[in-house]
Amino acid sequence: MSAEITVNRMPRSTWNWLDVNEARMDALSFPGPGFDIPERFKDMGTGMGRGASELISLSCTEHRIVEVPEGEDLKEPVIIGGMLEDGEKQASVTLIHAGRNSRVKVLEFCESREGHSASRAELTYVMAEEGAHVTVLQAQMLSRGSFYISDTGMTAKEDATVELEQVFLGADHIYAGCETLLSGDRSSFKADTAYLGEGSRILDMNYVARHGGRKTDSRMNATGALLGKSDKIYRGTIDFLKGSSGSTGREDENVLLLSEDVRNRSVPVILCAEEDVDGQHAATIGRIDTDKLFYLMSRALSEEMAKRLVITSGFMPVIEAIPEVAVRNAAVNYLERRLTLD
Amino acid sequence: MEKDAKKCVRDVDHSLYDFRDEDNSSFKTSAGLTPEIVSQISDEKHDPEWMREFRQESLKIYNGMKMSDWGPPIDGLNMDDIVTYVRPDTEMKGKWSEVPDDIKNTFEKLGIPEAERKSLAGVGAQYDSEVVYHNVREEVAAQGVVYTDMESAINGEYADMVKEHFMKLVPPTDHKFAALHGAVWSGGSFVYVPPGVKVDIPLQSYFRLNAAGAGQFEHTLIIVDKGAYLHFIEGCSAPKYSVANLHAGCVELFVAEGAWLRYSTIENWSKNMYNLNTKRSLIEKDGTMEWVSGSFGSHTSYLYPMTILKGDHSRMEYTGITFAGRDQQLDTGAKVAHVGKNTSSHIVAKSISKSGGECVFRSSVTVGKAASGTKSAVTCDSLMLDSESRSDTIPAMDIRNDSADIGHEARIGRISDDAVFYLMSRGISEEDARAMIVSGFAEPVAKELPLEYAVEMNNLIKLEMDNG
Repeated sequence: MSAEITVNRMPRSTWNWLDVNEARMDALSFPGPGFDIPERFKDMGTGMGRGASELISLSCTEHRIVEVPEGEDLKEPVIIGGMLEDGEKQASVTLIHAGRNSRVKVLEFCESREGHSASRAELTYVMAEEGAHVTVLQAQMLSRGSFYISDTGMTAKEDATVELEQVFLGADHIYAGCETLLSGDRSSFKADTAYLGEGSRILDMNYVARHGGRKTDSRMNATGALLGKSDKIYRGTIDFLKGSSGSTGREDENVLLLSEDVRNRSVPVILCAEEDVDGQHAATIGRIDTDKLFYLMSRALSEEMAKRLVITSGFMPVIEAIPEVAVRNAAVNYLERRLTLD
Repeated sequence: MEKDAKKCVRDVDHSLYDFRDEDNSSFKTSAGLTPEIVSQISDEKHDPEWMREFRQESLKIYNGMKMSDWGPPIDGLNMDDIVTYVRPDTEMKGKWSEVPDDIKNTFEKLGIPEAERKSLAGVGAQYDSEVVYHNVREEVAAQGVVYTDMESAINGEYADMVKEHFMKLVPPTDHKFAALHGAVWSGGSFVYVPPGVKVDIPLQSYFRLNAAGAGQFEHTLIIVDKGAYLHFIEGCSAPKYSVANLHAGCVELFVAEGAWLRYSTIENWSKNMYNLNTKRSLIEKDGTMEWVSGSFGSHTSYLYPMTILKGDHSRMEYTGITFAGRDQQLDTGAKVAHVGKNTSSHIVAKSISKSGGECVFRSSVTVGKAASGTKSAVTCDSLMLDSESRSDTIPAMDIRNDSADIGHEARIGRISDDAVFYLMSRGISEEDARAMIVSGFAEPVAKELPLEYAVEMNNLIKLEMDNG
């Protein structure tokens, strides 16, 4: 029996019987030499927690540091990833340091051919200096039988913006998390996560936006469709720390339940130690809106096509944000293939 | 020093409830929790054999369970210091004139006899560990409605019914303080409403804990039979002491097919109280459960009324407000389990935090695999009145049926400057504008209460604005 580690612990717990406070994950082993995270990143929190970040960093197979000089606007995205072979295990560490008023996009993607199961773990740290703008995009298109981990930690200083765009389409086990500290005044964080549950897929996610500076802003959106016997947890926490006056935070989750055997757990949390803030969350969980279906079918689409269109539309804002055409097309094709099969 | 207009909503005024009588108890157990103390309580309560065994078994469960690790701290509560049973120096009476003066005066100050005369179908008044007064209007009793204390119920005509239902919804294994309750419970009320009977005016139980360092563990068991209708009101208060007091009551509500039950609570325990209360209801087909809850008192509260919507087309509503001031950590909310088909739930929660008080709203909505056609909506609004305070919302949803329709919304913030500006542009002073906004914030709960209780709630909140 393989060892397990605790991941995705919520910043504040609720009843244990709900089984959402944290997750236990197989402590996968990766064949890499590991990488010693530099001090300036080491103390940053990540969404999945220290257990996951150490698991990945201590045996990572690849690492890179993206250093963006002050004032530099990298027009071309930094692209990391590729096709995994059957049985391959990859653990990747990416450290992004964006200098003052710089701008960078980093795309991390992975895919594997049908029948080729693989394991991929990504540990990403982002440090955005004053006025910097960093966008991290992750596209996961692994085949069934695969294992995927995405653990992210971000810090935004004054007037900096950090963004995380994620689309999770494949694998059997998906564990993902992101913790962002908005330490600087007027810094902002935006996360868009789109996920597809199918087969007996397990999706376990934990996102935390910590507002430290004044007039900070966070937006977290999660959109998903659950088919088959998929089982998903999404934890989203907006944490207004003392001193974060004038800050705003909003979290939205929309989940489509498309099979009678799915299980959906959602825990949208707001923690607040500051008076002058505005925190909101909303969640909608259910079937496809029949009005939408009716409208589309009145335009001569079959019911199946109409449903597929509605499901796909939830993913498209994230997929369309992918800067690399080939990866974008691969994601669209992957999604359509999965929806057609089901 | 110039006052900050935003900080001019005052704390809840507890002085109305903060008076104490001399301790004239006729018997009390030693502090702490041992099999011998539990056995003493059984002797005092004239327990039938099954209850004696139940208490001892509950004590074993208590000793084997861990404290919860998810809520506000309860480090200041030491069970070795808590006296679990205090018998007042009187038997239960059916007339206020027969109740000893000191106890009667206490309830007079709390307005219970007056409320009974004006607007209640029956009253039970508990003082420390025992019910000292119980009465139900003749015309209500004539309909077959049973409203009595638990000791009478457990040893009387309804003994079998009590045994069939007692701690079946909240078993001692549920959590540590449910086990504690099973071991040392005393007092509380039993209500049975026969099929088709509509009790037009409410019944009320009032719980007063007078003894310092004591616990109150009343058990309320209500069975509303098929097609019947009842509104039950629960109130509670205590004087403030420098030592910890404990309230670990238990409420079990059974709502039969087509029946309707509203359970309203105005809780105003003193700020040395640990209020670790458990409430649960089971609703059969076409039944309705409504909770109205106002939590204002106690040092620390864990309170989450739970509804199990077992029958098809059953429904629940929860409307609650929590006001946490200085030295208060109030962790409140609601739980609902959708089990039957086409069930619905609606949870509306409000909280106000000020002067360092901490409010936590916690909820769970679970939808079982067979619960097709479930509809649920949860709304939580929290108002922060200063930055010394804290307000958290921790809702959870666990949905296992694809035909469910679930919505959740929450918002935390302060009094809107725009709303204040709008009202001021209509000629209203800033202080009045803020008072109006906060009153409006609490209004959804107040309007669900009978008038007298809405007034009491508003008095409790004391949302007076300072002239600044």
